[in-house]
Amino acid sequence: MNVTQLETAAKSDDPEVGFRAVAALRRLADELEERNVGRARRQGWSWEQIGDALGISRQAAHKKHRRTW
Amino acid sequence: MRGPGSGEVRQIVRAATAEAQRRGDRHVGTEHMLLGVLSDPVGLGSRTLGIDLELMRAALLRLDRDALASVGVDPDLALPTRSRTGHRPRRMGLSSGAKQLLHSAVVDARALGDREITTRHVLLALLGTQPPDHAAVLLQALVVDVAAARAALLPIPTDEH
Repeated sequence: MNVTQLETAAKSDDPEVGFRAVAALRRLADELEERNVGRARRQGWSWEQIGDALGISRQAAHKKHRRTW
Repeated sequence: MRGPGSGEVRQIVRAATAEAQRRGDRHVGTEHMLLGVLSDPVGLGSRTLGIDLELMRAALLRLDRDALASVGVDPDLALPTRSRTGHRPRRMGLSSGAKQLLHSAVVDARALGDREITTRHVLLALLGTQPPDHAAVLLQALVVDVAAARAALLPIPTDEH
């Protein structure tokens, strides 16, 4: 194992780095979700259908996205 | 913003909120506050830290990229490339770290005998953060001389309160 590999291994053990990766992936997921809710609404999907697709309730889907869409 | 705070502090929180929105973050954290104090290119924050806003944004992005790479995710695929400036401004809450930061700014102001909370106190609070706080990690990544920056902000170099 060289120094770089060692450093990478040490870094991935650091929860600060792990949480940062989680937050970055969440931002990506949020953006993807928002974009697709927009698409779905424009295509006439109901909030219930959107909620089902996201695995959340109709109310939760509406509450989360009504300001944007 | 509630509580004591000058127009300066309100401006920092406003700029921090814009930074959080730009990145697509859910809350305004201490890292956004750190970006917020740099929003004025000739302000006390920029002068004290000697870092400009773009460099700080790039450093934060670099930390994100490294973090994604460390869990085996390709940052080029996972990070949105365009910033989200076109989005409608949304009300965003402060993270508990950011709330704690503002509280520290109040404490610092009191300790200095200042009646108003200004950029100086927010900066002192930011410089007083410790990892894993996001602002502290960011300052560390940019190898900011925290002690020197703090000293530059404190009028009297003693422990007198």
